[in-house]
Amino acid sequence: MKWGRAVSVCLPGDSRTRAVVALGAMLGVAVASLAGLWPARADSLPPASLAARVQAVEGANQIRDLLISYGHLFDVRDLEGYSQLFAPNGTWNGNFGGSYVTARGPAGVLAMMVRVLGTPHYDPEKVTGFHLMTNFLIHVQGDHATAWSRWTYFARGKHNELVPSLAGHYDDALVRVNGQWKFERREVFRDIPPEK
Amino acid sequence: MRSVRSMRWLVGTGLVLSALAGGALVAMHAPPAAAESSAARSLAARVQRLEDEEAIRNLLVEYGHDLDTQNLVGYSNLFAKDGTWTGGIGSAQGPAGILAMLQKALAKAPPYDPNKVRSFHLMTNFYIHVDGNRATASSKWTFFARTPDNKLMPRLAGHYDDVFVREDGQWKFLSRVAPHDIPNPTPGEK
Repeated sequence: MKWGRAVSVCLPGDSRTRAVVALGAMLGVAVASLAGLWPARADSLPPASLAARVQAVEGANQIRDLLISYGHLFDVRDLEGYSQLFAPNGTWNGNFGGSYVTARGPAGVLAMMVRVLGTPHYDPEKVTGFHLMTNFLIHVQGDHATAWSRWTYFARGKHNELVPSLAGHYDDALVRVNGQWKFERREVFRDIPPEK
Repeated sequence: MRSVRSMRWLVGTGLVLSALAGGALVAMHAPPAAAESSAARSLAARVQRLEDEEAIRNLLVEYGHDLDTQNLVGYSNLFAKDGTWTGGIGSAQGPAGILAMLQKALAKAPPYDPNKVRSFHLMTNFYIHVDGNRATASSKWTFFARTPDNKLMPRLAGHYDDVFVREDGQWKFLSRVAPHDIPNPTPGEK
């Protein structure tokens, strides 16, 4: 009777008394348990699991922001900000400036953009075009994620009209670096008109 | 007699002590534990809802992706066992029925070639409402195609009215209605 012995340390009286008190205490715990109050912590979800699930949902939201930021920063010609969306070893892969290019890291991506676009000035009163970013398909796994999405580029035509001009899609691998989601690899495809 | 009285007293004292001990346990642990459990359950339910919305957003996009790349088996498996599709090419029920409908509709279409993409769907304006193992959504689709002279052209636009069901832990279309909005589908109308 280990329980009896444990109780006897705290309670006076003979062994029968101790046994009765011990039994009563156990009954008390049993009643509390049956009331559903005692094991309340055990039947709730482990906090770590819930935290991980929240982090995955937050990750998907942050990645959607990243995919939209990419288009926005390109459209307003913030090439520095655009290049910072890439991880230190993150790559941009696709046709740009007439040939297939792989640019690595923010500095490499910035150099590629400057080589093709120069140092363009964005004028909000004379917007020449913009990217619609849509069809986000995002899967988060811990600190890594994959995404697929579409881009549709609209331009201002010769007569100031809105012209759907180019369309394609992105295949991405993403990574969380210092708490921030970045492009680990972005593959850029143009679908219509097809690349020559 | 004395030993019986003494025994009764002991048993009585034991029960009072045990009741006090049980009461103390409940008083010390029950209110915060119950509150915590309720809060945790409520938090878990809110997280579940966010996960469900995210899964349904992906489902809405996968539908377009599978359709545009002519992954017809993948497309049909996005529907529940009794899931229905209703739209411009007719209506069908269940993955097998929906697959047959699409195969028939696309019988004359050339196979998908990623280097010669002819068209695609933009999926936008997702409005999702989750209610336990059921959900509803509305969204818009805009169909773009490549013209014979290789230009990008918006061709058709419409919307989706959806009901979803969680089937074996996966969100599926229970019913999808896909009306065309522009051009107007009614013959003779412009």
